[in-house]
Amino acid sequence: MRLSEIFGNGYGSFRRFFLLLAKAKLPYLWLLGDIVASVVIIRIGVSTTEYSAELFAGNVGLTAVVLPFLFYTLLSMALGCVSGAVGALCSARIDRNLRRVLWTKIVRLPLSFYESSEPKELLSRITTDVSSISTLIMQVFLPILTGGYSAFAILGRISSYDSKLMLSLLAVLPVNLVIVFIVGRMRFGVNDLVNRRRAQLTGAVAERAGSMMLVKSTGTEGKAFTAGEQKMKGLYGAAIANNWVAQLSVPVYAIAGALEVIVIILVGRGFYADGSLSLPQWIAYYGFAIQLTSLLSSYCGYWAAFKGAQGSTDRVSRIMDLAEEAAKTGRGAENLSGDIRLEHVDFSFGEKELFRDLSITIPAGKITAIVGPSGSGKTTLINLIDRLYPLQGGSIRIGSDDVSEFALQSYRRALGYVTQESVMYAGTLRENLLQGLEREISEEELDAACAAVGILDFVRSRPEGYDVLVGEAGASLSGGQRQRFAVARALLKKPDYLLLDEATAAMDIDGKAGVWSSIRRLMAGKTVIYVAHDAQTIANADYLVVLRSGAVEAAGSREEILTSNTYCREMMEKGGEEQDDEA
Amino acid sequence: MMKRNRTGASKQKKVKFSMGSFLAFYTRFPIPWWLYILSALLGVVYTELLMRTAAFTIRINKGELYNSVIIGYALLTVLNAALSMLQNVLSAYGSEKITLRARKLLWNKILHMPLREVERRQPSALISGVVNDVAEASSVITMLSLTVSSVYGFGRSCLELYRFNATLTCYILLLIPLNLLLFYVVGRIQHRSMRLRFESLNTMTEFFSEHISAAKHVKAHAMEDREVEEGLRAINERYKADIYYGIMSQVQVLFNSTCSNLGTVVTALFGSDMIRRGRMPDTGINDFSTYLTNVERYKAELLTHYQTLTGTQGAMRYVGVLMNGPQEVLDSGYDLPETRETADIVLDHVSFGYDPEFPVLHDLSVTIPHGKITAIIGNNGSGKSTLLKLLQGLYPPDSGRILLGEADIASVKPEQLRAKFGYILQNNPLLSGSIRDNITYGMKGEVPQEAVAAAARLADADEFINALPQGYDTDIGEGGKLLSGGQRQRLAIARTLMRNPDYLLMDEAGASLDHKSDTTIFRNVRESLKGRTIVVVAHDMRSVVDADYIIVLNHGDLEAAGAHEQLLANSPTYRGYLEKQGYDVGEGAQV
Repeated sequence: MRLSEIFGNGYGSFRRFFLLLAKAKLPYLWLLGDIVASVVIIRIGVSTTEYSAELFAGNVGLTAVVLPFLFYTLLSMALGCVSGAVGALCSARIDRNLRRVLWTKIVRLPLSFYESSEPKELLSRITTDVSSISTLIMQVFLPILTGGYSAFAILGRISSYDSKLMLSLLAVLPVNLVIVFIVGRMRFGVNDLVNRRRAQLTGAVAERAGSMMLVKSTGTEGKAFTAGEQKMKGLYGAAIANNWVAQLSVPVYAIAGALEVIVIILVGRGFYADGSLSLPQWIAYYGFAIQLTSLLSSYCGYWAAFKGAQGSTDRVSRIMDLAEEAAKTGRGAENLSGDIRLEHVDFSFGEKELFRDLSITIPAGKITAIVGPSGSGKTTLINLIDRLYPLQGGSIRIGSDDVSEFALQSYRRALGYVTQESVMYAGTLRENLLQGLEREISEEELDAACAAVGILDFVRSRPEGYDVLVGEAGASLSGGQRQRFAVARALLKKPDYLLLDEATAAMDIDGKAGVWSSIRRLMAGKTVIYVAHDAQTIANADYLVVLRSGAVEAAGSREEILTSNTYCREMMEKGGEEQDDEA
Repeated sequence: MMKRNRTGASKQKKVKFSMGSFLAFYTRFPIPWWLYILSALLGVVYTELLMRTAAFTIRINKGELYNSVIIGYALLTVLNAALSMLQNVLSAYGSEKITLRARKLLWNKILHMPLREVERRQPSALISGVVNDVAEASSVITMLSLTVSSVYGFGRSCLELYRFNATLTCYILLLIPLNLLLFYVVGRIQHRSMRLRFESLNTMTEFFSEHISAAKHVKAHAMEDREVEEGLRAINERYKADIYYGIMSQVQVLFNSTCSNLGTVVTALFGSDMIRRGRMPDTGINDFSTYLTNVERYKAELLTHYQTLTGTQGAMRYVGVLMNGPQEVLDSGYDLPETRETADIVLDHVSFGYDPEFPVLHDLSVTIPHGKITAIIGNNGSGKSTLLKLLQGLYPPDSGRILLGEADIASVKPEQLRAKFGYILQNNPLLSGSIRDNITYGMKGEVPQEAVAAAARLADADEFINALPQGYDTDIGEGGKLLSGGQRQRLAIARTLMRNPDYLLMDEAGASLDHKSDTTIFRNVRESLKGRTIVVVAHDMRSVVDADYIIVLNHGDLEAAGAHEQLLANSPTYRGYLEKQGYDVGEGAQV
């Protein structure tokens, strides 16, 4: 039972891997070229060995030996370079093609995929895992083929001297393999220990380097030092152990090598003694035999390399197996109008149920705030409206249309959504503001949008204006500035439905006031839904929905809810409108 | 693809790094020289044995397959391997010891860098400094020791070659200048193509890391097509760099193999000629090639050492820059009294800027009264958070003084000063470990359970902790990731209260909590720290109007300071804030 499971898995991962290779369109012609070049080089190598044996034996005829020897040597060098260049081209192409299909795939996967994997991990799928696949192909798969041919050619040559010599050589070689294999296993285990200890050190250092403010303000430099030092000593221990194993394997290999040479010589000695091998043939045989053993021991390495790369190939091919979002099936979402109605919506994250039979109506043409304690499902609700997650039950309607009938891409483009993260990309401010817009935007319109969020002065203060570079992920801007640009970007889109998730949280009091009055002005008559948890922001709503643990606790006009709902009343206490009433 | 802003990166590279400071680095920790000397000596013995081995190889190739030859060859090979093992083990011990010592040194240095210096650098660069770069420190010393034995080996094998055939050896040695020239050219090519490749890898990594973390934004705006297109462009850039690198490395290979093949050509051409003229024995090429192999081997070793050295320079440069950076000495300065602090905090003409051109605080003079709650308000960028960091001496002011009563904080021991302060931010880092470890972080000695629980209670955290199956011993994961945001914040507050600070600084501490928790904690804090100084930075005016004293900052200047009523009268910013958050600020309003 267990065995079949293992084989089943193995089969599955092989199938996925080869499907991946098929999708990535390997550069077959170039690969073939590489193989052909290798074959020629192997053939030349055989001749070179024989000519050099002649030279060693003292046959130094200029035209018979020396010139052909030099010719083959230089030819092999030139061909080696050509083959190397072709090989580099192949692996660059494999990398590129794999990355292309992988990235195209990843972009089209649903949001839940991103949320279930670490961004850093995903990144290494595209950067390192892909390279290890091309390494696998170029440095394991191809050498297995060419190495096999090489062994075949060499053995063929030896058997042309004497076929019994070839057979006896073939019989004793595997002894060597066993030794190489055992030592390889030993090294693998210790290496793993070193890697783990290094990861621990990185973790310990990273945690403290990332919270230096805490370390400094609590004056715990000494404690942080000790924590790091401990891991450093751990790594030291592992590195020393690793060195011992690595170094102890040197004499073991040497003994294996010496034994091998003895065997090779003993096998050949009889043939040489009884005259069936001439001196040049003996020298060539000896050279060939040494080449053969190194060929065979590299086969042992291939297995380890293959096992090592398996993780990468598996991770990448698993991603390729996932289902994409269907972005373009369905009708276009033009002229959306009407209330947004969630009807009997069910939704859960894995095991954890969040919404069960949730029904809410969000009125068209008004500003609706979603409030509630953390974990009550506010952001998820907005994500569901934008169809970032598929519903597990029920439906969402805008007016009379079920939104699931619209093509995903067209629907999401019709809604404006400012996410919590206020994303900016490296590039100019203009590129960032115009990102994702399908229409031409005039300079005046840009100015108007920036003025609406109170950041036009900032843009004007930069000599480059809209062409100022914002740094990676907008690093040169403050959190409040990024949020303002994100809102400006959404306003430029002129959506009929605007979703905002804590989109003004990082702004100061004046900033919030300005941005919200612009939103009220520019979105007049259109529908705005936002998540907020501060009193100042909530005061801008016409309509309130209070969520608690995935259920609607209250919904209605702001005045009504603020007086009737305890959560809201507490929240607005001393900051809200009742103050006015009392005063 | 969009243009990337590289100015940040290039600025850091420009930091000067001199040979002197490079060498000085090696004087700061003991180097186990004896290991390296022993290792070099073993290298010499190894060379001698290798020369003997060559003689056996030659005989085998001549077909002299006597038992004594075979056994001699095998024994020498094994002995040689054993020697090389010993040599490597010794130098490995040496280099691991150096790595450990250099690593500790660097880590200590980083921990004692002023906060500004730390913030100026990427945490990832610091981490890789400690984990990777510093490991290169030992290679310089290892190379030194290996070079000694390689030089010996090179000389020794040349001598052997010369003894066998002087003329031919001279021809071969004539090739050496050519070799060096080619080596130089190869080095240049390699340097350039490695750099290009590295840069293209970086660009691609930056692109994908930025775009992968923006997944939600991409989905929400249905920008997938555009993303794919840009990603393909990034991939293509990398492809071009790979191709360039591949071709350049083949040029390198060509040059390198030209070097080694030239020797073969010379040996074959001139050697065969000499044999034909009877100036060398028939099997002379066999002997000569075997000796030549040793010469080539040591030449290659020497060149590799040189390459490794230049390769480590980059990594060590960064370590050097870090080591040369400024350092805080935590226990230098005057002692602060150990009794509870009762002094006001006085800022006297304080100016400060991250960038000299854009000062954040200018000439700020204000007093934070002892024993009261002081709120600091102002717009984004008005210098509120910066001010809090200045108070604890985390940043030194560019000019002016900050006084605790009579004592200038610049002249007291930083560790004592910081111990007086508790500092809570909007998001506070937690460290992996148990809840108890985190609450008692930075406390000296064992802390009784009651005290830990009391701190947790003040921070409104005891309820959720007790609900956990392992209570205070629950492991919270790396950075506290097993807890929710609100729980993390409450633990961080408990940690600060545990330290029982004289001055408590809170920078938007309640922003990530829900309102109820925020109110409870704030009330508890006020009660338990009655009579001490609390400084609050907040955007929510509810936390502000209750303060005893309010400071209004406006673009780094003091707009006003005083109690609520005073500010209502003379601070437009304050009045504006109250209005915008729905307070009535009409005549005689009471809040």
